[in-house]
Amino acid sequence: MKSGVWSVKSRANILVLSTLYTLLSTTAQATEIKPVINAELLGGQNFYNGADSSFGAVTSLLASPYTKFNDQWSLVPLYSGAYQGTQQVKDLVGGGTLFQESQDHNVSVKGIRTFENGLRLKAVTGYGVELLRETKDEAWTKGLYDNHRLSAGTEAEWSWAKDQYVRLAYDYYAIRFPNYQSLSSQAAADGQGRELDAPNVLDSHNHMLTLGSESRLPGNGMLQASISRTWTSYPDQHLVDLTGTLTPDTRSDQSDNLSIQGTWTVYTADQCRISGSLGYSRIHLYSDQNHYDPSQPTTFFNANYYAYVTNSVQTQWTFLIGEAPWTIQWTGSLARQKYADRLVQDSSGAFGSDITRVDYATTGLSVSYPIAKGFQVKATTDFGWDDSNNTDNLVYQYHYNTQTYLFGFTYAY
Amino acid sequence: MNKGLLSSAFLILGGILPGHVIAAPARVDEVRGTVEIRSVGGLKWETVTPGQKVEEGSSIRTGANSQADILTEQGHHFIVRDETTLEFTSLQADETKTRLETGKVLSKVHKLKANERFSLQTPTAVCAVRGTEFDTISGQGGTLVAVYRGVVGVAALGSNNEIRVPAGQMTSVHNGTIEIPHAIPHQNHTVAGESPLAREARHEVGLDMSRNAVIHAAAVEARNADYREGKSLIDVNGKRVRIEEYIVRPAANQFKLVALNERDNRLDYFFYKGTFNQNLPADLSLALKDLSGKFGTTAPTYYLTAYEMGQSNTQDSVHDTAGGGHLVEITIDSNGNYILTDPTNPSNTKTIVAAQLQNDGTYKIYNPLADSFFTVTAANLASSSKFGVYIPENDTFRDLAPGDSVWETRFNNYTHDINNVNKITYAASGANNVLATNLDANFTYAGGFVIPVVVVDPNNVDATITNYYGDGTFESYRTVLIDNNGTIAPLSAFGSVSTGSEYKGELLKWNYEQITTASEFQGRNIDLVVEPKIFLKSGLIQ
Repeated sequence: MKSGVWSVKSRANILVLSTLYTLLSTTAQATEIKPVINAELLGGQNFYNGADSSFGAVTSLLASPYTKFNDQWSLVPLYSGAYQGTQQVKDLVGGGTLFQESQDHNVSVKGIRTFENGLRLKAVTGYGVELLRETKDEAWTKGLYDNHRLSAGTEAEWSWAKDQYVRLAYDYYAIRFPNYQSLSSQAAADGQGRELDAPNVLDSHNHMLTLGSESRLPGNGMLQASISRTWTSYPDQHLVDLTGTLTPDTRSDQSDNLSIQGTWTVYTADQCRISGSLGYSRIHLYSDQNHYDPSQPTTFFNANYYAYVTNSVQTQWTFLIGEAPWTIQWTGSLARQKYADRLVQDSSGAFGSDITRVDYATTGLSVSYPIAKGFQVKATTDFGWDDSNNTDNLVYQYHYNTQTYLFGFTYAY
Repeated sequence: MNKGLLSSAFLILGGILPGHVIAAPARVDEVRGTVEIRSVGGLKWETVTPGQKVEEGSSIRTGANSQADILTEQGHHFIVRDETTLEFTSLQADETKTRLETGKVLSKVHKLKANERFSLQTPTAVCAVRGTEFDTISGQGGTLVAVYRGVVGVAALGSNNEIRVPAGQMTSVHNGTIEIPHAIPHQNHTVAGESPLAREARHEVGLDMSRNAVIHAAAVEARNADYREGKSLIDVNGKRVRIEEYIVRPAANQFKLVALNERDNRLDYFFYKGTFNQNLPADLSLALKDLSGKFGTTAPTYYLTAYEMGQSNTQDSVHDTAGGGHLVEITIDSNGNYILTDPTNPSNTKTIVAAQLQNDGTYKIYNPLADSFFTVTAANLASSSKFGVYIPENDTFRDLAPGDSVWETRFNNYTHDINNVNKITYAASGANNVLATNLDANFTYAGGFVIPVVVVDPNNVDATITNYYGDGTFESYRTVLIDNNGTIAPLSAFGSVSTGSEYKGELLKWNYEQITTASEFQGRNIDLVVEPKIFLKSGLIQ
């Protein structure tokens, strides 16, 4: 009897295993994996207002075993990481001169269901962490501004031709600064706190809706465009009012982004190809948070302190020269950030009547040459300028220039 | 003899016979993934290994995500991409001919000799070339040819109409029709030959990277906004110090200013709680603007009647209290002397000589704003006799001059404690309000006396004041001005300063760090970095 039961179970198990094996075998036979790898190992120096930093390395790695199970299902696991041992022009930020080292790591996985009519439905989740060492005594994972980012989203994309698509995406992401708590919440124990103080004032919840597309332009060009709106809430950041006290309401922001870029191949000849792109982007941030500066004797209260509009234009020109070929790339960008109501401050910190604006300009040149299959040797130089009508440079530099020189190797597969 | 003649005959024949009679095999240079070969006339596909010969009539087949590099004796290079079948129909010295059944192949043609030909045929097209590099893709939809170097002649299979496709151009052949050549739309060579799978992967990974970048940028923006508000900087010891300043209102006629510092998991704070003569307005600046003195003949609407000031590292403390606050009007007469009057009791008045010559040739100076006396040499008399009063309307300082009036708050009683141990106390010596504290109040010190000692760095704005008390204890205040990177201000920054008002103007451009130690602290300290305005406002800096 026992033997018979075992026998039935055994047959059932064998049947299940056989079915699984068949399914797995079928899947395995149909599965295609396309690895996508980009790696960079560069070293160089950053100069800030002419003063050089120590020599540092800049490395990055992107790896994704793009897996296509069949014509319907695909999976995109992705890791991207970067380490910076020297600041770069792209980190334009006056207060960022504290920089020593940083590393950033992201993992995400995306499932894709593809339909015959060109529709692709996607679900994605990801996690990112940025670690910063901004002072010499700051240990990894103890950085004040270390941040963790958890995200999940969904997307519908319809492609009607090769490299032509339109997509609608919704993403939720939470940003957490685990080492950053408001000091006022910590001082409550010593009788120096205030009502409604909460610790995690930088932590936020974000909901982002994006509409994007890529399509062909006359003259063999490509157009990439996207608009997005992000709603951000700061559950621990209470609004400050005219009297300098906190109110029960918490901060809510809304950010509208527009980005548009056209790319054309402008010249082709034997052993020479030139392509160029021109882009424009606009960011409009609305925020209901105000600002109260208790150190100022005349103007304490600045309503609508964080709201701004940033307009920027970018261009990039790529020259492919020779048989290998040499790749020479020039980039340039101009941006102006204009706050809605933030008043300028003079060199003593006193508020003026003008509204603060900050201008940025960058330009960069890179040259790379293939030395082996997938490997390139690369040299880059970038310049950045920052200017503003705000002359208060006590704690944040609004007027500076910066340069970065890097040399190293890249790998792409 | 015959053998020698025979050899010579072969050599001569070799020299005069056309080259095409001699087949020159190609070889497999590199293999990635699944690559197989089928020999001429054979049916079976066998795995290829690098270095293996490819005879005329053989076919090469690649699987998914696979690639094979084939080199011919003539130096032609074929990159056979994934899911491709390519037949080497002719590998003669004067003719290289291939047939692409399906898939993609990049042909890099070595410079052809005068009589040498190179062609590639697909089920729908024939490509005839001379010294060029081109991609060919063949499938059910037809043939696509993209030319990177040189020129390729493309004709539909069975047609004599050949179209020349120059470098940088591409065309396609479909149902016997050849598309008019046009520019290759992509930025680099590899994309044209990219498989649909690779293109898909690139697209999806690109979208994910963009998404990650947007989320990361949001975190960076939060950090930068914090920087821009000056909430984080480096102190004189190279440590990051976070700063928060805010106010609370304990009562309708009170405000409390709090400045917090955090570094190395330690918290230091400074607070100033003021009690005013009446309830405070919503806009506190209306009341605070005259806190350090009001210039002019009109008395301030708001003035302090008491204050409490403290600093602490949460373990040690310095604590000051003052009460009996009242206004004193100070006018400067034509001689530059100060006339102090109690507005609530005009008979309570006195005149203080601005600079009084001492027996030793030095001068005793009275600072009416700080309500203190000090001694200077004759050489420093002029520069030390100017006192800048703050003008909040234009956020500047003005040196007091004859004819000016200024209103100050004086207190009738005061205590100064270290860790709750009293060090200094004063109280009004009579029934009248205090006009000049040193003249109208009685002081008591721990141990009966105090000796202040000042040590100044000769090159930088770095000074230490130590009070030694009669009971053997001390308290010490090191004060430095630093920029946002913790660098101490050089004295040269104040080189052009000649008046009190200029001094205060320059002072405001720096951060103010004060490190306090005392006997009672047992080696610990209170370390505060604040904007100088807080100390100016509270009267710590005069």
